[in-house]
Amino acid sequence: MEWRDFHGLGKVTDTDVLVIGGGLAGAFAALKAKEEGAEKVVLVEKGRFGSTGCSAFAAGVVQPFLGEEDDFGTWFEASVKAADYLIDQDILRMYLDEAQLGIEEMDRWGVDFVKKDGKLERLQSRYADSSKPGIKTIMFKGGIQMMDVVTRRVAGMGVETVNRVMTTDLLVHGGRAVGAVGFDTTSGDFLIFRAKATVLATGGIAFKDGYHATKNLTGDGHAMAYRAGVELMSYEFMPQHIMTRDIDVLGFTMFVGLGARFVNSRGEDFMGEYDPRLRERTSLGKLALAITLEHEAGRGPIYLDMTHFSPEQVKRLSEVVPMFALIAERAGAMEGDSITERLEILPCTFGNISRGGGVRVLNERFETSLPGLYVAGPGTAAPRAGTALTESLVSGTRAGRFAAQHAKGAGIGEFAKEHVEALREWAFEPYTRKDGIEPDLVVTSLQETIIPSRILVILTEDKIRTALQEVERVKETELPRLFAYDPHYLRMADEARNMVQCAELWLRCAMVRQESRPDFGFWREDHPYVDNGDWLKWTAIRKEGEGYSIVMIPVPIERYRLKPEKRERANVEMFEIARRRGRHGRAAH
Amino acid sequence: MGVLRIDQEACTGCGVCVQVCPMDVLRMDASGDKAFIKYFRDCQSCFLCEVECGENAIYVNPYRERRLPMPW
Repeated sequence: MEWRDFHGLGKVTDTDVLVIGGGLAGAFAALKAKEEGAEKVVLVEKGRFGSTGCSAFAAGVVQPFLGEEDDFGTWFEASVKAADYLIDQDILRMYLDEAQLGIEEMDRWGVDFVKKDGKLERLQSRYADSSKPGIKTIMFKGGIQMMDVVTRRVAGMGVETVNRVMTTDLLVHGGRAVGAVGFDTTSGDFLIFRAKATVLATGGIAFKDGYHATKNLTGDGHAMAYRAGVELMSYEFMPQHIMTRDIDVLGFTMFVGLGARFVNSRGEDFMGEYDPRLRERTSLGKLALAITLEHEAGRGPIYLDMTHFSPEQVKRLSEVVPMFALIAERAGAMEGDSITERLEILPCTFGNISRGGGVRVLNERFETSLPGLYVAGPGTAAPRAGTALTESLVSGTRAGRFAAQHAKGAGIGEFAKEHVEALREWAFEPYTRKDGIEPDLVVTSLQETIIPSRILVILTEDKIRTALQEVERVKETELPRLFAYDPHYLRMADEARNMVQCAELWLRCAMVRQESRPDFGFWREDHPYVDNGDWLKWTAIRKEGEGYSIVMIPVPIERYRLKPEKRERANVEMFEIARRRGRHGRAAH
Repeated sequence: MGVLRIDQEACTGCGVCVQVCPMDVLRMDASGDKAFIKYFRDCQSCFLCEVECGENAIYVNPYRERRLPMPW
């Protein structure tokens, strides 16, 4: 790559399309930009392309709609109803229609999909009623193998990859995105990427909670977009997941698909009480709420039980989630072909990937509110349709293709030296201080604020207000003293600042939505109902001067294919069920 | 706990673990002979270094690398 000096501030390079983020969405964006004819495409990754981010750690389950086998109406309706109609039906249609293309391409390149008689083998989805034919998943042999194949393809297409570079801000000039700046986390060099079109593919934010797959999701793209004045949408949604307490294993969709049960301290297999139809297959948000309510009623700890799995089931599990066997065996929870221990589970945040909020997608080209800036992957505020991987395939493909088209008609953007100077100063601030607070303290302060189940899972106005005060405290007393020993720590420090920013936006939007939304894990105990009368709308937050503004965007339900029968409130039954189940004495543990 | 040990005798200095680490935890020593664990606290316990090491020189502890606050 060619670098030139930029006024002694750093090194600059020019590109037609700049892709920020090296997961599946970024990879597809870069590939498709090349295919569309972009001469130069640069992909910047803060870790290492192919092993950083969620995609590399994806358990081998993905849920594309397959045209020749599946019924479009069933899939469409299931997605819309699961979201209680709070879903962009235009984008949903694209996600369903087009994910298969990406799967077929990956299959041709050599991604190892599980097949039976030459065809993709299907498995009943975690999120579907097993008594009816319907939503099904396919399987592959883990994210690492997938990303290995995909990164080789990207390199083969001539995309230039820059690893270990933390992007810190977007470059904006004359109301359009003209690239981004960042620094090398090894050398500390300040780098400027001038681009005709930019694709954000940085995923969401997960506060370094729970899963190793999400430890890199520190909301960098959201925070940079917000600072650049870009609109974020649905940011109140921060859906939950379930994690095992002591070891960090992925693969819940497989566990449940194979028949895992959740049991409380009294040995009760309680999910049938909370969701008689789907039971363990229910949404992750409902699982998180159910285990929280069980715990609050004194029936914790809660366990994931797979000890009844047959050797064949354990073999299948080890094949699709290879890391599970390694970790579980080493921790003494598995021996050969049997699972010997129940695993204690806790709710955690899975961040706003997939079903959560993110950068607002303006149209089918995956443009954002800032011209020249495109967005792809789970960092978008787009509907859940299948899994984050299918969304990444479709949005990555579209964002890359349209970014390349945009680049053809655009010149290399100009920008003022002062703008770069200000962004450089901001990026390096923790590194230029002589002393101060380690990034780890800020991360811990944030986790202490948001991981308690009465924020992570169940929200009330009081709790949101208290959490916001704590985030403000971190912002005012810790961030101004944030300190980095070296460029590696500077990455951690800048990530911590981004996380604080995203936490604030999340809580501010959560305060506004006065209803609950089960599919998004949005449980307001003070508003325990889905309200399609008043709340069939999205929130959109953007920076205004030193403050922010939140506006409501009504869902254009009148022009959509599926409409709710009645626009009224419907109580969230989970809270009532928990009340009926009553309290029991806390089990000794 | 995360990545705990790199066997200095077994390590051939190929650098694969340094490259593959999603979190920039590992680095090569100044002479470029051996890998070492530089940013221990940032390890995400993903096991990639251990899995990719051709010499079986790396050991990752299976328990969570960093204590998270409890939700209750």
